[in-house]
Amino acid sequence: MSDQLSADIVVIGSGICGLLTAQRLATQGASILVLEAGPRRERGDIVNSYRNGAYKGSWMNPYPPTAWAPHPRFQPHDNGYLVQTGPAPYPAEYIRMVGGTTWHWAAQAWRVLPNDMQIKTLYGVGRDWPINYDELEPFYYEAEVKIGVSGAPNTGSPRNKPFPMEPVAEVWAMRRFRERLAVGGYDVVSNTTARNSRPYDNRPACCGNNNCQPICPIAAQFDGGVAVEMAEAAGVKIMANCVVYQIEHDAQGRIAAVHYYDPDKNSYRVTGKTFILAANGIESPKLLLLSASDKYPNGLANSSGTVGRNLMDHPSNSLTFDVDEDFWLGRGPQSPTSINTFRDGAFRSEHAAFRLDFTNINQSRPVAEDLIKAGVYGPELQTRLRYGAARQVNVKNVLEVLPNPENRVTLSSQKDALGIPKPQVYYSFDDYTNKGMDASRLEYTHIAQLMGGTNLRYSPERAYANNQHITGTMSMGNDPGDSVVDKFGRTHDHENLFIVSTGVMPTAATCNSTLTALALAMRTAQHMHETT
Amino acid sequence: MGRNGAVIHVSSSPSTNSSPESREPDVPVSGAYDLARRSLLLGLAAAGVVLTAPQAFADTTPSRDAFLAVSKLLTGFTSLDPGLAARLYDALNTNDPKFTAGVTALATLISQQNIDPLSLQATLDGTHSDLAALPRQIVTAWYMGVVGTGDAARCIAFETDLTNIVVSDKLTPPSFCFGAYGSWTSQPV
Repeated sequence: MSDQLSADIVVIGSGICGLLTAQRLATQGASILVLEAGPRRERGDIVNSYRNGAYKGSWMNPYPPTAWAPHPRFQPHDNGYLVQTGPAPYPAEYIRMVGGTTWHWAAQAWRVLPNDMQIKTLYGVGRDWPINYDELEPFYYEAEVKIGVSGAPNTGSPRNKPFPMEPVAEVWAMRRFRERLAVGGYDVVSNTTARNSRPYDNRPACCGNNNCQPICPIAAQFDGGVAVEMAEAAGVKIMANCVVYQIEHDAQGRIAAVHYYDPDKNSYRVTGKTFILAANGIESPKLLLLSASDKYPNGLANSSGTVGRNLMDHPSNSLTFDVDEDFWLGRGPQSPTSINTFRDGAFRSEHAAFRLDFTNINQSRPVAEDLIKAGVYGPELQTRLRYGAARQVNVKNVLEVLPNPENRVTLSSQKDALGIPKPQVYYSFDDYTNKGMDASRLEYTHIAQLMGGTNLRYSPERAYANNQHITGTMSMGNDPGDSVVDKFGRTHDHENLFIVSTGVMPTAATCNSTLTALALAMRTAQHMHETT
Repeated sequence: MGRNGAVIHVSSSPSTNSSPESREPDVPVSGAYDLARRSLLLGLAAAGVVLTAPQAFADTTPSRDAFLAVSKLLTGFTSLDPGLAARLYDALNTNDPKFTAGVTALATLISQQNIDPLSLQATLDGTHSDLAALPRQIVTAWYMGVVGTGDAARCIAFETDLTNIVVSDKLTPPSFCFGAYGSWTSQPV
């Protein structure tokens, strides 16, 4: 047993960043143990949970939290795990389970734009990254090859080598958006996704299950399940149901061990030479704060006081409308297409940049729900359901919020079933965000006009949906006084503690954060291999 | 087609599906019950609903027949899968012990007043609030495959719920393969 509870490298968290960092290091000869708080489940079981679930509109439906490793859940009601204290709700969703939250993503695998990494210098807002795009580019490519990314070259992010795969075949409805919006000067392009446009790495091409979220039944997109297989094939040992509750340091400030509870609250100690924290942008800062000691009364890696601060995500507003031709959204993958021209420009000194995204999610279920809510019954119900399923479309934004130290994760006085403090969040939006939202709405209106749109339904003003791209809470930076990790992901305060997470991103940019976090993680792994 | 495909029973008192012997016989009945029954038949016939009593409902009770008749009126389907009907009825009944009496009363009301499905909800909201929740429960069961609310919500059907059936010539239920890679590039016709 003692052999099992020690490794060269101990990883806390089995999401895509933790597992693929572990996989990379394992292939270079290190012994690696990954501790995951949640349970282990198989793909078929999750597919069945989706099909048999009563709340198919919630991507968390097939992933119920466990008693020992709870995660936030908001349908059918808030389970109270993520304690809210701010003026704006922050209903973050993530999965504590072997494989992590990419079990239910849309496989959006974007690179940031070079300018995204220096918005302070260029636009006087936010903060600059400690590295530039060129330094990250090779690791972007490594990550893209690893998870199988397909995409179009015209999204604004330079690349030295072609995508591993061609873009996924264009959905009819998205082709019509592209053709009709070109008249208005909009450049509609294929999304960059970890989705197979051909068989790749022993996984099949997409066959249009239109269920990327909450679970691809055939692994045609990269997800947590694939990450588990890759890591284990490289010799990584993954232990489920191990709830790490303390990181232990020695007198010199090096990390000596981590302590975890099993579901019955028996405690275990795991030693290692090097430790990687990879438990996402909320649970990771929670654990650092929770590990406070006499030597580090504000928590580990927190001499700057910024652990948990600068919480960011991508809020969205949207427009739903009926287009004037039959589109039948739901044929092909869920999120295939977007407009990238508002991601950068001089306006960033005044308002937030954004990407516009067109859904291809089957609309029949939400349309039916709306009709039943309206009390439409009989033959008219069928008629209107078919009309809505054929014609209803939606465009939304993915908008950059700026780092704000007041937006943060802290420890709640409330505790979970094991007696561990729940994470608590304070979240708010500023004028920079609101102005970007207003600019987005003008584009929606123009887009609807070009599409012959009727029955325009804007999302409520100043109430934004969340996108589960948790960033900023353990920011990287050159100055130990205002950042948690250095430009390689090593904590400033603890020589043998590294962090791989979307949480190390200093700013959120306008694209889904996973690929960038993974590229940073590959860079961290390279650095660890060279220096530890 | 069961019993000649055109017989529907309406009972003025609650009945349970656990006592099939209590079902009304196919013989003439009298009084207000008879009137309600004939009225419902006429009303549903006027709404274009073809009444059938399929095999799966061979052990039917009057409230089951009322459920099927009301379901056809509300869903706009003249033919409904009897097996699914039985499962939805049982789930609705389990979810709410008063469902049996409610659906029977709703059937009676619809037939007596010859209410059009499009005006039904407004009518109930205005003058029969005790029955107002029933149409949504029934239509949600058929179209969403879901019975119950909150933590008690249960999925009874998915691939065969009427939402997926209504669009099945164009779309597959989410999580089921649409077709070969790239089959979505063509115009839906």
